[in-house]
Amino acid sequence: MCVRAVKRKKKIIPKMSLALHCAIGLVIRFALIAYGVTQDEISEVQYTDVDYKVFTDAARHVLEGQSPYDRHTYRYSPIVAYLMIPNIVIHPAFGKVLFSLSDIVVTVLIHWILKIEGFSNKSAVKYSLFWLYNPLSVVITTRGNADSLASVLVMLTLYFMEKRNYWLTGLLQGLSIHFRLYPIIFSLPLYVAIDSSFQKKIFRLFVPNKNRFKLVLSCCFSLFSLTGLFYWLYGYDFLHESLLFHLKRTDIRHNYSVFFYLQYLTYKAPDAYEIVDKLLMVVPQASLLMVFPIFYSSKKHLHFCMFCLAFIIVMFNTVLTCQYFIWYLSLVPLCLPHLQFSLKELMLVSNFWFVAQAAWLLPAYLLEFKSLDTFMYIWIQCLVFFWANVTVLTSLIRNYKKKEKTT
Amino acid sequence: MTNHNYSQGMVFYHILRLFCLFGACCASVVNNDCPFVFNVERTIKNEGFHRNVDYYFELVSVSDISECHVCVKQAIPSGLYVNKDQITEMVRLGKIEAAVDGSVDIEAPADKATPHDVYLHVELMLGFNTMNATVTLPVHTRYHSARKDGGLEEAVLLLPEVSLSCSSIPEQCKHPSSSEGKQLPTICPVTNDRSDYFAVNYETRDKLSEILIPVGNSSHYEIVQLFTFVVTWVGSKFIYYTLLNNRPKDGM
Repeated sequence: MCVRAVKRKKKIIPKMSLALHCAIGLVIRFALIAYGVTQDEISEVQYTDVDYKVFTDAARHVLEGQSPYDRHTYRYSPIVAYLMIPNIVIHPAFGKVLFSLSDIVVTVLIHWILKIEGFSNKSAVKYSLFWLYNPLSVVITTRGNADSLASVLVMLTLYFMEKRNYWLTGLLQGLSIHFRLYPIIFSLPLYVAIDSSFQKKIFRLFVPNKNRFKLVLSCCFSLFSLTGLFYWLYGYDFLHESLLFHLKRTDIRHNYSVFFYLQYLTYKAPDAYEIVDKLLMVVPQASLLMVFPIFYSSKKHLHFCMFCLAFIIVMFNTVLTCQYFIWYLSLVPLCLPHLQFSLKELMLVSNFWFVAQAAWLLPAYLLEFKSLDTFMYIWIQCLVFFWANVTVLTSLIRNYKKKEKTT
Repeated sequence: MTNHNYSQGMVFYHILRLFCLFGACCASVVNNDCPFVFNVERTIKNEGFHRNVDYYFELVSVSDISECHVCVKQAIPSGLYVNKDQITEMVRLGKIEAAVDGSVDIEAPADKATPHDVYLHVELMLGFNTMNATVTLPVHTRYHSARKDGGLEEAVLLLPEVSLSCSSIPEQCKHPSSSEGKQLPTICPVTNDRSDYFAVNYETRDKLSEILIPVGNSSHYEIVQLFTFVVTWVGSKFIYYTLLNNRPKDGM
């Protein structure tokens, strides 16, 4: 997306206030929630995400005085289960409404952050609409995926970072990590983005100062206190399901991950093979996750750096489904003003990404619903989709041009 | 045209079967045997990893039997699974009366999973000449370990064990399960309101049901490993190279 491209499409988006856009966004989401109820009743293919049922079941356990981890495959913070209790006592769609409202909060926070950065109200509204009307975020949220709550926490962290309130930034960063683990990758860019008085770059990057100390201390406080509290309440189940499981997760069932077929073929292999394979999987992404915060260490590049990190962790993940795209989609509007694509490149790159993703669906459908042996084709599509992600990311890096002040 | 012929065939088949059943019942009565015939038909619907197993129960009787309940114990092999949470939700919504015995790990591959049992309960409803009922059990297939040349792995759904609880059930109809030739009444684990279930013999056309599951090709391992790592490492180097050539001036 580029400034030029947006200018050409100026008339497509009518001039409306952010509040009105939010109201329309909310109505769209409510309509899809209602549609989902109908599809779930009449169709074999369910609209509602299977995880939404997991949240609701976990909430039921909590309501009965049991652990949410009594629900098989519940692998989230207990806070999600608490928030879903109204699904049982008020209405089954409560959670979806809550996630939709979270989308609106994310939109408003994007708007606020862009305004703090110096953008005009009109520009801030324009860029925040990318999230509000994004079909991916709309569908994922209304299917009952809780990652919009994680997006709220990430956006709040960024908002207070912009406000230079490092105590609150740290507290929210700790809460984000507790809530959904993946924001842990944002810790290093947040740390290096805090101004340092050192002249030498290596010192400027890593040597602690008062503000960095505030950030680290408050982050550790919220993360460890929440971990301690829930460990005390639910024991090892909490630690394993919400934390350790995600670190050692291997899913051999088909998904978008470039590593899916390799993991499937080797899940019975001896440990030595597994360790070598794991290392070869982890090293490329770990090195990139370390390098990006160093190159984009300045505070003005923080949003783009975080976006790139989220993109890298998703594209290299050992399990990859559509819901993971939310991890970086919420950060896109904050980078949009600084991306200057030509329309041709924008069309080519985005089409490659969408087509690669869509092409994966056919062999996956034939495997899952027609019992055809299409593993090899799925794997090839996974490789193509991985390369589409590489193309998108490198294209974004090439076209990212942040000026000192943009209005 | 084909459907029309099929429908005609099915109608003819059902009429013929009713005659046969009636004949069998009469013959049973004459022989002082069990005065009813109990049929269980099982059909597996859908293809792929998510199947529905439709059970059709039919009791044809010449004696005065009413208010019959059927309890089914279906063994699920390790290659398949019944999602306990899905069943719990279906029970809550009143779509099924069922219970899963034991814990079920829905993510485990076949070689790391354990078999489990599912109990179904259904009440027979009075129909034309018969008492019958249907119930649908959702069954899912597990991933199986890859093998040389890939292809399809087979998971076999054995015949279910069926018990009946009726207001009056003749002694000779109770399927002997002990060496003494007399079985004790049991309960159905799904509902505890009746404790007089007796295993019964039943007629069925299917002996066992096979579900075919695609498996990966282990011969692909070397090529998959090579290309996966080449693509991911080259991809990461390309990203790194692009970053180096487009790094911001105020960065490292």
